[in-house]
Amino acid sequence: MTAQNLRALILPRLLSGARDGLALDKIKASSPLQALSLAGQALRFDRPAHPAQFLVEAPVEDERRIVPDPARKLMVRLLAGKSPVSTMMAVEIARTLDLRALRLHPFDLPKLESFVKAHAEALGAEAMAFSQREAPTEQKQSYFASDMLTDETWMVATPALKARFIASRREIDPAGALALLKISWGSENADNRFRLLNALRAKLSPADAEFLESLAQDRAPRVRELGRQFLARLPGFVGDNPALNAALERIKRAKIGLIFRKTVLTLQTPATVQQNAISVWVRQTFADIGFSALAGSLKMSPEEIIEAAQKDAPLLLACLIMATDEKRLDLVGKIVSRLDTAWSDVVQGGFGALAGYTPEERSRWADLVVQPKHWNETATLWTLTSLIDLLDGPASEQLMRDFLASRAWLAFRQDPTRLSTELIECLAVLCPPSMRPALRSAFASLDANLTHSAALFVDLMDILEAHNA
Amino acid sequence: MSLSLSKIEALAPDQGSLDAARKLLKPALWPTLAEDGAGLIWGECHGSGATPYRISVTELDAGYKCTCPSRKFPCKHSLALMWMRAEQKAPFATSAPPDWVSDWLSRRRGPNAAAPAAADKPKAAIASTTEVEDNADPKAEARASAARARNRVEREASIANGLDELDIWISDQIDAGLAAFPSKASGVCRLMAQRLVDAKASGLALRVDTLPARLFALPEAARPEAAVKELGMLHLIADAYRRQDDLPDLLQSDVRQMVGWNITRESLLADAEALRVNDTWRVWASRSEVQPDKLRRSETWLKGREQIAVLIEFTPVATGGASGFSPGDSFEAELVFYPSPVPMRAVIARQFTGSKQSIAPLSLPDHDLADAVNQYDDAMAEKPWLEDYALMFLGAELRRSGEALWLRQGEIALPLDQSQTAEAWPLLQFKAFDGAGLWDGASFRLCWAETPLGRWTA
Repeated sequence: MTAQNLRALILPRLLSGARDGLALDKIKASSPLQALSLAGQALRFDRPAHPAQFLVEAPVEDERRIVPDPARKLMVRLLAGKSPVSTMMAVEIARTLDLRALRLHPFDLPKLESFVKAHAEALGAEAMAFSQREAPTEQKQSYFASDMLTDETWMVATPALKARFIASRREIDPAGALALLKISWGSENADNRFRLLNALRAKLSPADAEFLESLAQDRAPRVRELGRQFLARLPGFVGDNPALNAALERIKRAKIGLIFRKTVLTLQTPATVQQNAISVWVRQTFADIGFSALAGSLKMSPEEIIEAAQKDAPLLLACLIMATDEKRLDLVGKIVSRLDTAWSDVVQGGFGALAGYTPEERSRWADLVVQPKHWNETATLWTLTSLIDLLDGPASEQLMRDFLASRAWLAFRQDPTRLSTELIECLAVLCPPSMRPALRSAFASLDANLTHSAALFVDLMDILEAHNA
Repeated sequence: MSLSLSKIEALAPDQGSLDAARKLLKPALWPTLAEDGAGLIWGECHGSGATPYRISVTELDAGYKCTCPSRKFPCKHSLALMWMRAEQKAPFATSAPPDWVSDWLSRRRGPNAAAPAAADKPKAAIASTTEVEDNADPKAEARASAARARNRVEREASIANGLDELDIWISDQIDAGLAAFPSKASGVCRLMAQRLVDAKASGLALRVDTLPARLFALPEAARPEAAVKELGMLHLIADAYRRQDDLPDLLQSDVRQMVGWNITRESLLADAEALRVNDTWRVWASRSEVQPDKLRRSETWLKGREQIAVLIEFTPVATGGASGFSPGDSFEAELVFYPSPVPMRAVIARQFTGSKQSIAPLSLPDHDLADAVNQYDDAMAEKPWLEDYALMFLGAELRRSGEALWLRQGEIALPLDQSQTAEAWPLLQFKAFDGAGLWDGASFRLCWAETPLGRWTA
């Protein structure tokens, strides 16, 4: 009796059925059960068959430094614990790792799999490779460190990185950015064309006219529409601008005063637009016409328009949207001083006008527009989450200080039962490093269940920033 | 100090318990917080009742007891006491344990249970023992002994009948063909397991009951041959049990345990012939699974200088999944091994030090994967129904073939457990690493790896 005999003579019959008997005499077994045991035992001594070939693993080169050990423990507790943290915290952790050129410890990737999959592009080459380990080769995306992209390599990056590259290039070399974009324009799909065209928003000039005019033939309606809007904004544009005409039809001019006749502008909203939808309508109507174009048509300077519109909140909001769109932060400050509801109005309408802003510009804009002193308790959470959406990073020290001194926050401190974990986490995400001691002392008097995750998050941020210092 | 936040998290039955425990971290809620200076802490916590709840915790093995009526184990009070200890949130006064702590300690079956009980109440225990012996009724004792013998004979007869039924059942499966067995395994195994329970062969019953789960854990193509191995082993055990008188003592004892004759902890500790090893033990793997009988089986694998050991605990599902030890822990203890030709399962007879996390590498034997697999073959020759076996190796590598990962060195390639494809992925980057894992003949569960990036544990 040999293992070979058992395999050749007994095993097939065991598998297919032994009603007709087994060749027991060939293996000198006394019963089918004994034959079964012998066959089973022979199989157990078999070594597993060696695979015909193994995959050749492509080496993953990740130049980032691994996060320090104390940060590893905190991240696992925050992101893979029994109650994982909110999305905004996860986003901020990923953003910080990206900003500080840090990567997760490879052994933590499986523990943090859902976090890694959601933020792979921000977590480095190894995290990207891990998140795509089961994807077919043809569907795998390569990881591109945004600071490593060049004029020669940018077109193979992911769509978001390509748009970011063109936008940053546009800031320093508008003509060069346009030239690069033209090279890959024909091979991009509609989504990417729309993204890339949006990246040209900054520094529009007559040099762009030819390209923008060519977009009238584009197959994607939204690309055609965006091209037309950009074209209308060009200095010296002489064509028809339906958006500007529609806006002008809604602006009424009047003179008031007995001695010093002052010009007053008011915005007449359509009767079909309800009160709570006015800010959305204003954004839709004024988002694409440009402050200078409007000023030219009204034959007034932007400052004069703001002065004339100071009693009309919807028109001031329109001015704010146009000033924001043209990055006229000097005008933004003047408008906000006349419009207490500036922040909530902008939030309702969306942040489309800030699309071309850098994080620093957004922070400066937020410092001007966000005024915690006007907030009430019911609107606080909503406004804070909106601020997180806008800033893509912590708020400025002054803004955080203003919030911690605001009536809304003091009311929460007096009645902590109205506080929510989400609001506390918003504060932690928005808190700049210099204000963390103040935030910790504010947390100390609150229920530990509310502040637990936020406190861990703040500790984590401290470690990540110290490691990179 | 062996309590850590990660250990407390692992012990907690759910997030709600942790949240509730966090609310109890205020020292004002604890009129008593004390320790004996040797790893025993206790406290009283104000709850909803008129009197505070009393909580005791042993730091050595994270044992706990609370007088609250909670059905969660550990309850929020026990978790809070551990948490306060781990984070030093309040001072613990050093004093002798009060009676209620000593009582619990004397009753529990933890590693340090025996010593304090003997130390605390030596005279009472001796007096009680003497009294029982003095008052023993020889006739009653003889009747009880005869009843035990009769029960034993009856159980042997019942088991013999059960084994006969098992053989008939296996024969039926052979007649029908084992290629089709996996598809009907759930139904037929459940029925056979119930018959074996009725026949008082609980060990075999559990083995039959969990057979479908083991088959379904394998790739579909491997299941028919796995069924041959499993059913073949069932008959092997049954046949060995019938012929146990012809077997060497250790194998006889082993097969009786396999069938369902349990050895109690007390009788094992009292067995003078049982293998005892006094060593510094390193925890290198732990895992737990819920059995069909709703008990959680928790395994803690240890390595001493030479010996491998596994501590196995069975606890109700509600008590959470952690055993109190984590991979990397190290402690000094005397282990007593259950009799077997391949001794692995053990209990802690005496624990001399608390478990502490150590960053030192695991001391692995100086051999490669092929040697480790040869050891497995030798062990299977000693104990034909061998299940999980610890394989330790130097210089193997992890490779991918299709969707599966393989541990490879030279001509040896062992398929990694399918559930580990994600967690072991980071190890693909290393050309070679040292490690340890559990091999069941079909799949390898990697548990520990020493790498240039530090220690990896499953």
